[in-house]
Amino acid sequence: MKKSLLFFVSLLVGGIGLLTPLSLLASALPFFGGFDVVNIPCTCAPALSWDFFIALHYSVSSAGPIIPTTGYTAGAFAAPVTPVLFSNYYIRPETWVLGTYTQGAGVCLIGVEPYCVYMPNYGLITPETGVSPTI
Amino acid sequence: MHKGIFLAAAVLASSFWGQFWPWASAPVVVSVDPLAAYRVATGSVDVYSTDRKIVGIQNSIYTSINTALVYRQAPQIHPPAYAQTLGNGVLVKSLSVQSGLPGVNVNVVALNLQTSSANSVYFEASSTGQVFVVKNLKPSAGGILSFTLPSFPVGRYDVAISNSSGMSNTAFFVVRAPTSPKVTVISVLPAKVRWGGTLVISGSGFTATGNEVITAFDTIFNVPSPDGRTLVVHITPEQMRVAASMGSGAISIPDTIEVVNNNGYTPAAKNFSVSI
Repeated sequence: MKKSLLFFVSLLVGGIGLLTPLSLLASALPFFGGFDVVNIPCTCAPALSWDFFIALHYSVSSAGPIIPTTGYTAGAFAAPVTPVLFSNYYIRPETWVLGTYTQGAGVCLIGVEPYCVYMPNYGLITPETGVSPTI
Repeated sequence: MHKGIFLAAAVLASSFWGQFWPWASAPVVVSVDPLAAYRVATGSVDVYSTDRKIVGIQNSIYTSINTALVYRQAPQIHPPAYAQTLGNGVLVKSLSVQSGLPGVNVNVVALNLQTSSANSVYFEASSTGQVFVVKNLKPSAGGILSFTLPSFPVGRYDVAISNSSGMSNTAFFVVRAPTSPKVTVISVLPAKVRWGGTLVISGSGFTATGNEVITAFDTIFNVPSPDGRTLVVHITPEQMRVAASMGSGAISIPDTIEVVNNNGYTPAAKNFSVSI
């Protein structure tokens, strides 16, 4: 009896241990979803792009809700050039993007140094992103 | 006796009638158009109305950035006002398949569908401008419209949904023939191209005219391929125009290539990069 209980507890702890990094990370971040209309590389901050979304849904905290009560909005996020979750689907215009983001992160500057323009955004898309196929 | 004479006279008369006026006895042939129920009169719908709004937003943002870079006086971009109706209108998210033979089942995932059967899916042929419509579609609980592809003529189409909130953006769909060759991209050279430079795409299934090359930043239309195996395009994404004119080519931007034409489209994108 004790052995089986110990086995169950260790299984539970082990399972939580395996799941924790991803689930905690995802649940700790606010999320968003929207239709990407513009993608511009942040040429003064390489490896990032600036994406402007219309029909954007986003939450300001991990508690949600994903659809704001005020309705649809528009706005931009900075995004890593390399996709994080679905390797075949790069973030690009006229695709739908879904993921989590980090508020305040992702400074995007566009241009050629020293002539760089700051691109305002809600945050950096990270660590999870999915994109619909090209439409 | 009288009856027999009357019958013979009637047969003779009908024979003469048929001889002098042959159409009177010819079988009536009624031509049935299997697509009649789907045809839309040319010019009666504008499938591209929302696409134009999106292009307008894209261009206004590109102009803001390019102007700021040219005059070097704006420390921050203020994205222009957007059309609120775009976010509240019907928008296509994805298609379960983007090429197939008539009879294939197509699922269209969309936002802001009517819950009743008041949704229509329009198909506008790229080559002829001919428009067909599949009417009275009711979405599933997940916001998906499902229908069987009618026997539309072979070719590339732009697909949009229409309901009481207007016309959606378009997605492409290729109606294939059983004999249509597969469209593939084998190589893209050079692997790194300067903005405005030439890219050579090698593959198969390209059409003599009307190929569409889709990159991560823009789409290049009506690209010819005289040999069916090669496409030559110039890479000039508008959003990098001014930065490219100022740069030394030291910055590389990852990009992708896909091809769509009347035969179908490439199943996987090929990578290259643009230097500015």
